[in-house]
Amino acid sequence: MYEPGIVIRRPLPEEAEELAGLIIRFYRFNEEFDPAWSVIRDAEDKAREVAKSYIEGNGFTLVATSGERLVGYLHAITREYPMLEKSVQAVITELYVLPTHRGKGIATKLVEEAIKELAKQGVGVVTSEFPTANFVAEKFYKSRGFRPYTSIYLKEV
Amino acid sequence: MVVRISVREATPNDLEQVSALIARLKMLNEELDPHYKVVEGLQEIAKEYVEEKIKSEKSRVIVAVNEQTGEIAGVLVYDIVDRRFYMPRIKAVITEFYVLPRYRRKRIGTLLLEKAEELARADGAGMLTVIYPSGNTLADAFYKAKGFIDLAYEKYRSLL
Repeated sequence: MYEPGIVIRRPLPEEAEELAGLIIRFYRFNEEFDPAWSVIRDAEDKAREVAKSYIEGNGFTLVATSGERLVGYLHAITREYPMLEKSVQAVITELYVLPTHRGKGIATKLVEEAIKELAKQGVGVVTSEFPTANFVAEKFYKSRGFRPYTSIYLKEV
Repeated sequence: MVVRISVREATPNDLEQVSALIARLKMLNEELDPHYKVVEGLQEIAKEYVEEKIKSEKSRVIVAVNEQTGEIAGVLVYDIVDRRFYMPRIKAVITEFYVLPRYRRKRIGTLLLEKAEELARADGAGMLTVIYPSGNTLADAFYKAKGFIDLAYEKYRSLL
């Protein structure tokens, strides 16, 4: 089911620019679902900074490559809940695949690889956060065995 | 902060901003359905398109403007179409409708739609319709809430 030639791996320093492009696309897509996700103006510079920090090891990041090109990425963070039996949880905060490469199992592969890696690091639970109205993400995670877990309510102040 | 919005027809001076909104709408469609893969040079093509639509006698381009900053917060484009075989003969077809995310939930879509209704009536239209990609469930919810019902289907089979 996977597109042949897709490689899932950690991003390289020289891929900051390309990764930044994917990060912007991820945020621009999600802002469509909720104005609280509105992206800053001139997001390009910030995205470059963010991409660099991901590459340097801020959180956990995987990229999907097709040939020389980055076509998708996943970023996760970990949270600790000292009162919970499964005290270390990983949260997939960003997952994006270019529209031209959808329907080829790339996002599934990114998530599967992430789960494998994170489990090795002692994570007991993997969750994902996305705007409630993002039905694309909801459908994706539900069909891959994720279930609704925590609800977040927001009030702008 | 309360944003003061005015709604008016677009002028050639609005070209840059309006075409950027149209390009964003096309990119959103691409995200929601891979059958809407956008072309190379999208921004330029959006500009040509908006220029044409502003000039055309058969179309109207309506914009919602942030009065404080002059920023265009949303756009609606409709075409006037003669149905020829059916009554009412003249319909206004909304072909583009986009509000920048940071301006959502402020009833700007409703303001644009009301202005479109007013102008379409003045253009002799007896009905208002809208066409958008079937994957766009955000549009589904909006138009349903505004009382629109299904009128036609467009089916698809690839020839490539």
